Amino acid sequence: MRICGLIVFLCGAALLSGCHRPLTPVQEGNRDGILLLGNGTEPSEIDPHLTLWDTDAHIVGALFEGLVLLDPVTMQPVPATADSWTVSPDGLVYTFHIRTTARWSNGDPVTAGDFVYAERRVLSPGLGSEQAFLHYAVKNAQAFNEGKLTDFSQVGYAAPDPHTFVITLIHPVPYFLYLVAGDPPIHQATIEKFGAIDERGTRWTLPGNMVGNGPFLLKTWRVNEVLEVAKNPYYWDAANVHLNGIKFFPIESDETEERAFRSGQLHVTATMPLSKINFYRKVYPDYFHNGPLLATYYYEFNVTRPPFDKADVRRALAMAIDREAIVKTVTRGGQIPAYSLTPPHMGAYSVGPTFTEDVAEARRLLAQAGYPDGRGFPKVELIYNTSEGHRVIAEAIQQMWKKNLNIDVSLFNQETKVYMETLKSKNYQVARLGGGGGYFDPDAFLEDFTTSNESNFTGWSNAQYDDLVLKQAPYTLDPTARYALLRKAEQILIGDMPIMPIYYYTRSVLWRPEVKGWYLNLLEDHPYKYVWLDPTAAGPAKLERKQ
Amino acid sequence: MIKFLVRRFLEIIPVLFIVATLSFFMVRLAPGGPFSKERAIPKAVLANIERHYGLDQPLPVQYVRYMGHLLRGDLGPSYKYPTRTVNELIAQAFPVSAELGLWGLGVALLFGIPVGLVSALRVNTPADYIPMSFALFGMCLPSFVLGPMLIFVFAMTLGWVDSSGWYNWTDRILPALTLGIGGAAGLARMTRSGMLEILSQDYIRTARAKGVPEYLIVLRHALRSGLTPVLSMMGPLLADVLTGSFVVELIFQIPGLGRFFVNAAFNRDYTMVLGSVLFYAVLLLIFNLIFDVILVAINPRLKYE
Repeated sequence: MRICGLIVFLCGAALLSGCHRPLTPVQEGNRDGILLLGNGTEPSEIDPHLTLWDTDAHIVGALFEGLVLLDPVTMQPVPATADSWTVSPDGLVYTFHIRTTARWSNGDPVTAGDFVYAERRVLSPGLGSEQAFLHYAVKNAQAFNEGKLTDFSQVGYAAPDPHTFVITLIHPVPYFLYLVAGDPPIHQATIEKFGAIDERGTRWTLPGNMVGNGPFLLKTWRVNEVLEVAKNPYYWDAANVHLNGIKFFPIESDETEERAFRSGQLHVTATMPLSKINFYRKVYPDYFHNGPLLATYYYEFNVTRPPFDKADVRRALAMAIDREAIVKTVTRGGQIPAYSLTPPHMGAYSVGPTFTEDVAEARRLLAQAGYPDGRGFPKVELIYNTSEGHRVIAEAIQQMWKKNLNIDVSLFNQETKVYMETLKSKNYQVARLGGGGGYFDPDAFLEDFTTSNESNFTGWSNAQYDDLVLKQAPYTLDPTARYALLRKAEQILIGDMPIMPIYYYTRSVLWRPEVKGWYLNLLEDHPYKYVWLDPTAAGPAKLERKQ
Repeated sequence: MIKFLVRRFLEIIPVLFIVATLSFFMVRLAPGGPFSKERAIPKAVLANIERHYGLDQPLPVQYVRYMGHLLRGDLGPSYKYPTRTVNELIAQAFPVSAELGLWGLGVALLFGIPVGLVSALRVNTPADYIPMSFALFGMCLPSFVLGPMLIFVFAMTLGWVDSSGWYNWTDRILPALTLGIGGAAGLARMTRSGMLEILSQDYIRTARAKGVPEYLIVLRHALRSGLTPVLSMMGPLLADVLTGSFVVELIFQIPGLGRFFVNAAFNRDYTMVLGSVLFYAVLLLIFNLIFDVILVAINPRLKYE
């Protein structure tokens, strides 16, 4: 009996050890020019007008190309489908010249009409595109999107000839090129083959149906398994596209993703487990990459409820935590302590630290608000959306407030959808949030706190702030003067402290040394046409867990 | 028997109707909706999206419309994956989960029943204590611990299989073991207790007194009744393993149904939640029926009543 068991085990072991493949998927990818990417989650949609998340946008970036592209190193707009453009002196009219060599993946030429069609689609009320608001600076775009105007020819998009695309704005938008970078054309015949212009969820985005103008075309898409793209031979710059294809793997668990990376199944990860950062830093520093993102982690106060209706209380709480300790001992991912809403690295705009940590001053402010040494301060509830990362930060802050201000805070977590409803109904006291800007401009952060903004859950309203952000800054052409206005607005915001900045986000990811042309950048934008694989630089097939 | 089958089939219809109705209204009670995001979207845009899916209609109207589609076998579009219907997503993921489930069940049966039998026949000896201790350990070991342990040994250290994915047959081994070992432990304990009970019955003693060889007693007389508790557990177990395991699918990156079950609830993907609940209910009811028939067939004391 025992011998039988041993024989069965040995046979199984021999079979298994014999069947393991000679090359890892990464080695096969290096040989075939196929990049293997962790994509975080399954893309819910790859229609460029209906995507909202980074995980979806990363795929759309392979399949479509806008008028301009962001340089992966400098993050400055460079020519893409448009080979040049001009801006009128008043900053209101952008004229793009579309390359004559630009082609769709079925060989049709890309024309200015395709761009006009795309804008008409994204603004169609029936489509319900969540990106429509990004076009509101264009003349009559908002009216068309809200159904108040039905004649699209009155909206500020025009194609005077097949290679000229003109956009007219209602006020200058200094970051407008960042907006058009994420705004590709759409192939009209393909859309209308599968449904109406404003129909959601038609089958045009499935493999075999989709026609795009990006460096790659959609090959396969199996939900929760893999989405594969192959090089597009009709792409205008196909000669300079080095990869033959990309496979996007929707691996949700960061632990699973890291194991897949270590065993040679991925070239690049979407994220990595916090617990593995030290290991990679020490053992495989060439594989570990960490850099800042254009995003800030903060707590919001509900200013419509006591005791947070008093600015002194809000300021006291913001001044009484030790951000350095939080990023060093709690988050440990290289995050940067935040003393303003807008992160640094915003080019010419910098607001600098808008407040300092000062426990003595915090105590004085709390006493001034009527709570000397925390006496009489009501028990406060701090809520966050369920996540281990948010929990440990909340616990650290809870202790700091208790120690420094003698106030009691209880912590509650809520599932994300429930959490969003709680914020919208302002049924909270202190809540965690984080925000990123999709473009290099303080506007991406500051507009969220204007009175009428849907994302302003604080109940905070300041007429001067609204005036600076919504009325004065957009009509100020001189960048220095405009930044001065926005700086003033941010100082008002932080002075009143409806939000308490904690840290600026960073991103820790892993990629193999053979991946070239891949850079950590603030917007996490990786134009795949610049990426290539260099098998001569490849590391070991599998990474050993040596210490 | 035909009468029994027809009656049980007819019972399935009201059960499914009640499940569909309860699920439809319960999923709507959860705060938030399929389109509420961390960054608030303008009200006008939200209204347009909801109109597209008919979510702007009163709930009773939506209910009647949903049930109408359901009668035609149409589970509706997924709100999270708008290009696909719930029917398509289930059709794509179910074969994967079913395959994994069958491998897992195979592991469970292959190890569970023989070990349970041996323990029962050698009760209160080391051949009983040792496997039963392992079985207890196996039952207590959650798959999120067992899975990474197996990966560490067989994928990371020995390099025999890949750590995740669902591409070739070797990718089936570790998930099947992870899913099957817990089941094997449960089956072993259940087989043991079922057999022990039967082996102390009078008719077994009579058979032994008559000098029937021990192997015939076990195979012909004891096993049939001894496995009754195991078989009655098989219906729910089969429905459970065939519809996927969220944890195992997440650890091994398997594109099965389990992930839809859990994520649909978080995403408030109403149609996907309802679709997966109904699919699970149908499987559960059908397997229960099948195993009830088998139980009656092997146990003469039970009748089709």
